[in-house]
Amino acid sequence: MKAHEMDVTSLVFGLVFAATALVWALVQVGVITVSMLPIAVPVVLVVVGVIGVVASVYRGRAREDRSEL
Amino acid sequence: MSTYPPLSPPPLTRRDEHKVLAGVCSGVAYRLGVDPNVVRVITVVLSLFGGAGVLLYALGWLLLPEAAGRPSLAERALRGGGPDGLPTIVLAVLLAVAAVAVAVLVVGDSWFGITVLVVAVTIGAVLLTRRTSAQPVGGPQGAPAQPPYAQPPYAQPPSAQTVGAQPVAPTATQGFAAFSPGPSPYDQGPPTYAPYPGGNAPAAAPPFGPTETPWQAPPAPQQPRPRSYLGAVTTFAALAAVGVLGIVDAAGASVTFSAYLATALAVVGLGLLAGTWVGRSRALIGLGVALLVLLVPVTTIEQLGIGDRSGDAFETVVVRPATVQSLDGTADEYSAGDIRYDLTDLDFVDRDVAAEISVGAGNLQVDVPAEVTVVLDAQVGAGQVDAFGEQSSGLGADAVRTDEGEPDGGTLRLTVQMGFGNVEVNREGA
Repeated sequence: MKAHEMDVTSLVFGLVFAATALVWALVQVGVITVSMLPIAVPVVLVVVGVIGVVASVYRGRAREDRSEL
Repeated sequence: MSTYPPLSPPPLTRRDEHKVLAGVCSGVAYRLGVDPNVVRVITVVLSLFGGAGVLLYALGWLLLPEAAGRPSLAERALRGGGPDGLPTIVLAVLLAVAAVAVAVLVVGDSWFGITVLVVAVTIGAVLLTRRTSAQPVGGPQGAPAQPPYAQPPYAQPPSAQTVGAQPVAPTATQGFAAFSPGPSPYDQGPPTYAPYPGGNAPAAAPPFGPTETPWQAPPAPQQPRPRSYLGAVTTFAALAAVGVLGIVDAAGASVTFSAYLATALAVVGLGLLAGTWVGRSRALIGLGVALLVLLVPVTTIEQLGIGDRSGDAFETVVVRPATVQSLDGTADEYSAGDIRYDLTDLDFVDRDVAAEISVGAGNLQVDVPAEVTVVLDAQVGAGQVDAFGEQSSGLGADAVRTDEGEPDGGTLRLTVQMGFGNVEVNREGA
């Protein structure tokens, strides 16, 4: 498989799915309870969203820099 | 003409002619040579009995080619939406979610059905992934690697070849026309067909010569992309992980259904994270969304404790209170099941009794004796209430009514709360 420029779509969806599985596991183990999900789910979305924004900006800047060269 | 009937039936596609919604029924009818309304009636009947019609229609909409030689909605969505972009992807995801949801309803809580469903979704995802990843392998000799576009609507290239009169030109154009239309007027245009002004193909020359319009039409042939096996690797890894859990389950450990889904989702998530930097795995997003859509309700049901008893999701309960005193003031709660209250042997005479019954999902039947007056307050989120022969159904099917018994027969104040399901209150002998 060839390495390529960071694919933000894959990154964001991968994070959403992995984080969902992680939250599921934490609920099963009992670290967080079902009553905490209304907080846990938005936290996951905020974290993933911020990562997506940062990654998009980072990639966009990298592209601009390259086009200026 | 009539002595040579067509040897093979027309390809199975969605059909724009005589379509009502997306042309699925029309396409199937055309293929079978029957009236579209026959197929529609069968689909509606299948939808009413078990929902299979909705499932099949959604799958047909997703997977049938739009017309001969044009890719299906699912395939275009996996390839980034084609010329229509985001709406195609949104529609495809909605249809896939609907299909999965209906399929879950159809198979119900049968383990065999769920296993078949998961395997079917996995195989479908792998096939689509393989088809899509094989698609862009255009390269310098794109024609053989692009079967979906080689059919009628886009089958113009041969005439371009005759016009160009040099075999190398079409193959070169094929790979680059999409993003570099510039060279063609110089390389191919005037010099090549100028020597044959009147003879060869005067009519065909203008449309396919310098402008190359037929080449711009197909949505997909973009930059040749390397084939990536990341999607297939991840899908099979998820399948293997689910299989390992199945072995653990069979060996005696208790593995919940949500554990299977969460494990597969975790593997898919990791595959996508790998695809952020190497390979190509965007097609996994569809699989992940399907797993996510299943995981949330399944986990919710498990956490609510439904199905804890002997692995049976539904409990069947018959309640026969021994005395009126034991019924008065009760507030019974059931998560899901088939629940029956038999109060016909109780003596309500000169008494005022209150009872409350809450059921998450299922059926509740209450049988009351002939003489008692019933003050009923039944609230149903979605379903049907049949109280003393009067029915109401739908979302928020509530029934607040008093059904008079005999003058001194006593009173039962019955409060019923039902999430999803049917409530039936019957008077003995009525």
